[in-house]
Amino acid sequence: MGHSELIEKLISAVGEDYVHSAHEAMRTYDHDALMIYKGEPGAVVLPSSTEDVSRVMRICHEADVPVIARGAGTCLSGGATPAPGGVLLVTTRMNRIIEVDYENLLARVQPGVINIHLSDETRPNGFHYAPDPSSQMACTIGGNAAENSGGAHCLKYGMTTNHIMAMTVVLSSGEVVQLGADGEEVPGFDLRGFFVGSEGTFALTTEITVRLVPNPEGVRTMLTTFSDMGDACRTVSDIIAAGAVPAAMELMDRYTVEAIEKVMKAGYPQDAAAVLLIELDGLVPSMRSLEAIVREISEKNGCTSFRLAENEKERDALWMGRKKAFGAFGAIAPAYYCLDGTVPRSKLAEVLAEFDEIGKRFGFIITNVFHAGDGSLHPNVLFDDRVPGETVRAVACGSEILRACIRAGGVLSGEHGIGIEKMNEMVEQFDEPTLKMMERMRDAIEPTGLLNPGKIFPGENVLFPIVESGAISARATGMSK
Amino acid sequence: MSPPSLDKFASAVLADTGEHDLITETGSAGYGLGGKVPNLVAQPKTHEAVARVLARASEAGLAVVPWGGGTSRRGGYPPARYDVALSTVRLSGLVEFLREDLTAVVGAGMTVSSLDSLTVPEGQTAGLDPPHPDRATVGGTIIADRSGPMRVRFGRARDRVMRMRVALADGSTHTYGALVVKNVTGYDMNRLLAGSWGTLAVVTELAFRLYKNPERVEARAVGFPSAAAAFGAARKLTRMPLSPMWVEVVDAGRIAALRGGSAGMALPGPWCLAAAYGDFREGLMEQLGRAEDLFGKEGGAELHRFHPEEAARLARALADSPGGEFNDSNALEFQTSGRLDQLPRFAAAAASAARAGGGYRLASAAHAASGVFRCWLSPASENVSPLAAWEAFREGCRAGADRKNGRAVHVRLSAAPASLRDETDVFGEDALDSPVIELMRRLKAEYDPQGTLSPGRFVARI
Repeated sequence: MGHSELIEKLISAVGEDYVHSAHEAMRTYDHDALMIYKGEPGAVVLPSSTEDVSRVMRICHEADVPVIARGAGTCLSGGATPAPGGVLLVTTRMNRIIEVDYENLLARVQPGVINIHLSDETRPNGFHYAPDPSSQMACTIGGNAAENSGGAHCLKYGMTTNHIMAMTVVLSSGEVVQLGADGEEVPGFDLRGFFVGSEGTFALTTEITVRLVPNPEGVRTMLTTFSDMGDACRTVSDIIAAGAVPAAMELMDRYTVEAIEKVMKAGYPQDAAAVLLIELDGLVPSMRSLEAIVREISEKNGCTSFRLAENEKERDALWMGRKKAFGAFGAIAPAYYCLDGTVPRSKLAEVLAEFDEIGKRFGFIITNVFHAGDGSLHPNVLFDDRVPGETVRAVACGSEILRACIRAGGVLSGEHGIGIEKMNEMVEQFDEPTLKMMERMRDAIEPTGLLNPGKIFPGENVLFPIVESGAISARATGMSK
Repeated sequence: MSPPSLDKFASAVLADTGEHDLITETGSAGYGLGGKVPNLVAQPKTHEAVARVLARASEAGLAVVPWGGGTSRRGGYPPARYDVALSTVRLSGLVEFLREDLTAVVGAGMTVSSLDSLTVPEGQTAGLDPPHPDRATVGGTIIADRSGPMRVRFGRARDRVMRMRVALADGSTHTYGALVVKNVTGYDMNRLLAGSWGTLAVVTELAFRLYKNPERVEARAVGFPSAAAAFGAARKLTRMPLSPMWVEVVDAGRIAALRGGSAGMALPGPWCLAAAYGDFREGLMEQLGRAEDLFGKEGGAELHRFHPEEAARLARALADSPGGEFNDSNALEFQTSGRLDQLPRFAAAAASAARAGGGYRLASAAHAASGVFRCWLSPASENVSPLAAWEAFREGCRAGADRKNGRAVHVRLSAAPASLRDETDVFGEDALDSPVIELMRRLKAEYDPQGTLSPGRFVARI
């Protein structure tokens, strides 16, 4: 099937207004939030229903053209970067909250629903959708399902996979199937669980049933500072070991604090080696004992200050610095590369010191702002993407950082996924038989090789060569996570 | 007399491992499944030896069923072929207890009680609560995905697995996951293996995410006149911003079994809603107070308060099977799950099953905040029809349910005589889309193309 015939068929499937193929339009979609790899799609299609997606899939199957799903394009590992010439299926129009069932704490949504929109809808009624990736203002629930996204509050509430009950998916054959159910017990292999986090390589998700959780009655936010990163990391471990699981525990290093204070006055002490932001939630009367535990542990580990937000305004102020951290890196470097290696909590201090060494070796500053409670790191390599060769060196530095995580018993990715970004390091994480079995699983589920090709597994055909100059995760001033 | 392939297999394993007592014929009758008894029992001590047993069995064309504590023996399909039982009894040691990281790495053959006895003195728990914890192994609990009442607190059993070592039918070995709580590195193979009923690979070692035990746990129970009232109150409780350890609704039959059983627990009836909370003292008192307020408003009667020790006993009793007459070789166990507001329908289906079967005594219990319903039927006369009871339950649960939009109701025959399991869809797989079953067949074929592992035992007789 030629390109023009393909376009005609796609138009007949979803309507003329929803198929784009002009070169200029394609460039908008040639990357996701990992900007270093690009692939220009052959067409962009905006379906509105499961039936649309199934029709598009059948056409592409017949034409032997790759299909790549894209939500909001916030993926940081290249999961939504289109295979060159492929059909990019953008879920923007599939943004309907189909049903909210408060009686049973379930919501059924289309994949293009923006993460925070669901909570915006349900929160006034006392419930919310718990997974909250930092990009939740923009990212979609379909994208979250594909990547099994995390977020600051996963520490207490779990990852995306813990909140998805069922999915309607379109297989590469075009068949529509249900995985999971409203009930927890579903016969057979846990395909729902297996498909969540498969990064668009198994199937196209067209409907998702998620759990809602009651809003916490009380929230307390506190900020503690330390003159030593090791003390801060120990505090994190001790708080969890004490059984006081906070809703979130976010740790920022010296460089991050400096950057934040440069662009905005968050009120973080500039001389602190580590700033730990802790949020507790639960019943109002429970807060007092939890707060006392956190304070006692922080003091025992030598915190240099302990501040409790007295009201909503102060709470927002404490969070503001954390939320603007990524944007603030622009004050100290033109570009940054954000990774998400994850290690056992007890290894945090050790790997952070190693990151510093790696940075020195490469001549890059590495900042750290991360979900400390579950050992989920976000090291950021700061570099100048205008200098030829620096982008490639920053990627090499990132690779060293990931290897350090693996050596510490950790993993390549805690929440961003493998995508294109980390596929070469997969051989460091898994032995060959294990990695091969994952590939065989993909081939068994998706035998055509058309769904999101060139991702996850290192292969001979490199679909996405590195873009020599250009930001990696983002222009430093451009976006916040 | 063993057929030659068995002899060849046994001597090959001996040559590989040098262990004379690894393969035995003795006691194989204790490993029977659905009337089929294996010729040999293998009891390897190491991950590597498990891999050798599997490789040699595949070479010899033998069928192997992995065996933990044998607590699922009355469930699933009887295996199509069954030559060797592979017991994990000798893979029961502690590998590593990383207290600071709240992580325990143990052999798959360790019992759930043994794991608890390691972690509980440290104030930590894996939160596993299958029936018969003193026999059920951690490997079996994960592989059969046995999640009990505490799933509302800790999630499904499979959610607790950080890392898994497995041996495949061809003798290769894989390690999935890592000792981290957050991990999206490659596909979620742990989830594929958990709940796979020993049909994909043999799990030899598991790393569990542990949780700190709450400072104090207490439970409350009240009686309601009807299932609708008890489940209605449970739904309201679930919608409150509390964090229960478990929320259970049990019927009069289950209450009687609890009173008469070894636990000797007295609960109010005829329908009892019981819930436990765990927290620091201040928070606990608040949670219990609010639960009690709700019980009162909903018309719950005879409030029972269970202080920590009794609450722990009650939790164990509720997680267990009723025992006694419900343990009879002709007894039945059914399970289903759905939306919380479907639970009263499931309870009605259980009652009609007991009647339609021609006289069964009934006990039922629901994980009422998770939508999971279980019931046990014990024959009260000679002329019972297990098939009629099962069909009445299945049809009753599914009546009025919309199969579209993920609304299929999956009904499982959890335990029954082999004759009944042989003539029905044991796992309720008739409600799955057929391409989904086809996908499962393909995954099985990749892992175990020869059908060495538990052939015919799982969904759609995979």
